[in-house]
Amino acid sequence: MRRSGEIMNKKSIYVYIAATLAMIVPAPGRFACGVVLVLELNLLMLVGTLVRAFINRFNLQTTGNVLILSVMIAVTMFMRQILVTTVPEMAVQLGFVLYLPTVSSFLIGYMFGEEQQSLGRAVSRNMLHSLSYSVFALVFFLFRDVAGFGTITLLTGHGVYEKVLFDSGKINALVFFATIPGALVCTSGILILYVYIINKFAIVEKAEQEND
Amino acid sequence: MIDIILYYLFYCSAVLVYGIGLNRTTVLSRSMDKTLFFLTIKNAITILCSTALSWVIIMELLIPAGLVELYPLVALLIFLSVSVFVEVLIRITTGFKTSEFGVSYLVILLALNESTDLINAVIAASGCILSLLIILPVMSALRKRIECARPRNDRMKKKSLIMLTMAVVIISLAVWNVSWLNQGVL
Repeated sequence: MRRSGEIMNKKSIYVYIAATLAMIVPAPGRFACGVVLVLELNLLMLVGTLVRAFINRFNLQTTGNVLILSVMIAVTMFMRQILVTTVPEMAVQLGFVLYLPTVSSFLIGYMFGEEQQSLGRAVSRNMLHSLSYSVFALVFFLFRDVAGFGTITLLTGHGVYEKVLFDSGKINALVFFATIPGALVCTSGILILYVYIINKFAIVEKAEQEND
Repeated sequence: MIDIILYYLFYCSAVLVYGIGLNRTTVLSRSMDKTLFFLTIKNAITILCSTALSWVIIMELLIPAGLVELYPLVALLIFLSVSVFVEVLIRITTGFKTSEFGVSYLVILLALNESTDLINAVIAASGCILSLLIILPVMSALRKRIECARPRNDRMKKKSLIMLTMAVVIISLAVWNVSWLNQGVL
């Protein structure tokens, strides 16, 4: 049981890292961008799960894959149009990055899995995974925003609000985290930290078992 | 022509800077075999044909109708049609499964987004494909080097080392860019 739990943990960290490489690393390291991408990811997950349930309910498996992909691209286009009308600078800043969550293995994996569940269970399971990843992604974006730019950016009704915390020009080394290599190093750091903690827990558990 | 290819190959690599297939290349670099060869052939044909067809439809139908914002959907439908056709041909003739969606679609979108004419779009797509191809042997070599240095089978440590090395590769590619020396640029 413990072994299966460990495997699940390792699997989930792989999913997180894969999703991070596909969605977060290429995105601008701004918290406001992260909020938009996370909103998009959750919207896509919700709509995709509903469409998948619709396909299963009406036995549309032959055209199911094309239907899901078309709907997901349509949702992304819709999201982009909302951004263009409400926060145009964010639409310009994100540009191509908006399409990264749509085709990421994180979403595709959930949408094209073999498993068939009831609508309620599928929505709650997928949204739980999506929301937990969203928390991780937001913390990641917040760190890059604060460390790399010395700011916290937020979305408001009048565009992007930027709260300056410190002058990033004075701490040049931290600007590195605003770049793509910086994001890769962050991801790698998280993975190393995770492995370190897992190994420590494994040592403690082994010691406890030996004592018993 | 060569400047566009070099741009997507090195200066602004589709994989390392745009992040297209950043995860996929780490997976594909595990085994450089025949499947990878057929996957490359199939996707190159699909991407180039879809880019050209999408460009023509955008110019001839969507722009006159004022529906240019619908181009990702049109590109998707064209891509899926071409992809299924080429996949069937490859599967019948060689027996290899070469299905791939995310990376190919993103390359098509990038080429359509950042080009000014049909030839330009096809060349940009070719540059992106080449950037994916050129990074695969590098990643494979890195993976083998890390495996030699770390015989213990710990996939997570290997993956984190690969990511760190990729970061170094990106930094080395962008070493000519000294804009960060000017205060306030970043």
